[in-house]
Amino acid sequence: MLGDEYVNCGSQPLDEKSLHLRRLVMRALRAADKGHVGSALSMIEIFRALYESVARHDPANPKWEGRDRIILSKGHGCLALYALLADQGYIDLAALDRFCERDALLGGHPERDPEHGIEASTGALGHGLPLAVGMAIAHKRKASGVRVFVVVGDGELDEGSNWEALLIAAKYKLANLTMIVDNNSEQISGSLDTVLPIEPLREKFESFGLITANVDGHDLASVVEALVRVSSRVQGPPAAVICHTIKGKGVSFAEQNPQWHYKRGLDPKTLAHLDEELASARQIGSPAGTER
Amino acid sequence: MRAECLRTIEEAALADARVVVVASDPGAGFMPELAKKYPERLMIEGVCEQGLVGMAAGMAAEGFYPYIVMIAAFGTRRCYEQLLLDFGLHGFSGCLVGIGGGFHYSVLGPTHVAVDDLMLTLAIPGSVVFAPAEPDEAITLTRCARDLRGLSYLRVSATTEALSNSGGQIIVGKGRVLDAPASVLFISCGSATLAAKKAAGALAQSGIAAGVLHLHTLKPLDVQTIRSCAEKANVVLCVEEHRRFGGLSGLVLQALADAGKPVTLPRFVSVGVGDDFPSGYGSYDDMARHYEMTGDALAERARALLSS
Repeated sequence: MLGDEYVNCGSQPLDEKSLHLRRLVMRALRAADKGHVGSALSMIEIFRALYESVARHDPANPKWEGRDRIILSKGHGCLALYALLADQGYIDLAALDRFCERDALLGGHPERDPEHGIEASTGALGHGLPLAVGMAIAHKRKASGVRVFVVVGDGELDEGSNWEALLIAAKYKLANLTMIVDNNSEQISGSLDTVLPIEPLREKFESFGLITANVDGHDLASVVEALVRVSSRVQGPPAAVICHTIKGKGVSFAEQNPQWHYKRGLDPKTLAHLDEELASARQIGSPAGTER
Repeated sequence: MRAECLRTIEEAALADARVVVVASDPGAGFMPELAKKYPERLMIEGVCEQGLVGMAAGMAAEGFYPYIVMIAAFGTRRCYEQLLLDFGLHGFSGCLVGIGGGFHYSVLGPTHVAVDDLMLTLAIPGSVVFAPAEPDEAITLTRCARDLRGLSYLRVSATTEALSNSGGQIIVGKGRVLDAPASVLFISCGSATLAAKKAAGALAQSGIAAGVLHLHTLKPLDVQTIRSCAEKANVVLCVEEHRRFGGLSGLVLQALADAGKPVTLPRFVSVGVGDDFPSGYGSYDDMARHYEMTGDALAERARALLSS
């Protein structure tokens, strides 16, 4: 266990860049009038940490063999990934305006397209982590230095395939594999505690032999620090970084609101409220909890 | 054919660092030469079919070629979504080797008997599906899989006999005419072809000429050979150690009816397992008798059809 703790998850104000990326999410949502918005908004800072600071990648050379692999396993949260890919230049911003159209580049779940920065087709849950384990084994054998980051949802961890994959990951001592958990504590039918209790995640991961970290998933500096720390290792077990997040983070009326897990049919009044909420940097949202 | 198939895979992995053998729990002493020389190429991961197929797909994404060796029933059912999505949807290449497809595990009951493995793997877009009848075919197709793109499924049956004549070269996607088509034609795949051959022999002894078209590859299907053989027959018996739906029979009927130019349909009988869980235990031969798939039973069925 790493000695990191977090307090008052999500209590830090979002900076202008985080708001900008959320506006990109809303741009796609507005275009399609549907999308898993709540599930995306909890992951913006996770993807910022990866694409802006931690991962080695090159938007000008998206298929660079030496790139770190970034996999979004909870594919329904793809709007967060798309926002970062657009911001980083992997895809045109205009692609967001065609989200979910018949011949669109970007659909309701990611489809493998390394040219545009998408490593895996996900959507059916519990697939990204086993794939990431295989990729990490491959790169460990090649001694390529490539690291694999996979973002999973806490609700997604209901799937047994994840735990099978963790057994394998621990067996092969995949120091080049980091699992990032978007721990927003909610799934579509309600809280994880009521649907299928899965805590204590940290203890579970540690019992599987992983090195773990617990961070406020909206505190960009903390997420970066934890990811750098665990992914700088060249030997040892795989890592799990549990990011405590708020579903719908950044839009007060969407936060921890199951109605905003997947949203469709946005009326003009709601759209105006969204614009207002994301207009400028300020204290947004309420703390979701504190460290045990 | 199991031993020959596994040895072929072992040789492939010995010769190529990009080939890995991924297995669940194949038993002690599995591939001993590979285990000794290149232990990292032999990945025995335990009975976690979903995890290991996903892992194998991840390795395939990064340039490795996995042969995934599992009992056919579990390797096709337990991890179906991983086969469909992680391999199929991504277009990653690998070969699932289904040990004991068909009646092989008859003594272990309906949990282990695999009479739906072909339909499941056929349903994966872009897949290649093999059901060899004899060791030579298993060897050749196992080797060929390595050069194919996408997911291949190779059903490994219990039988060890060789086909009594060559039927021409073993080529992916090409049917083998083992006996020239006549008024009776057996179309079969996998080890059911051995029974079809025996039936044709028995019929010949009683003066009835019968052809045997063996399809070791169900996908891609050799539509042309199926049509040309069936056009010469009055009676076609399609024989498979599989459910009568979703497998060979359906493919053959579609081949005869499709392509905008249907052949005059001969009398057609599908021989296999119905919509039931194979009941009882006993030997492979017991199971074949139960489903009227022995050479004698097939010959009798053909005679009855000709005289009805």
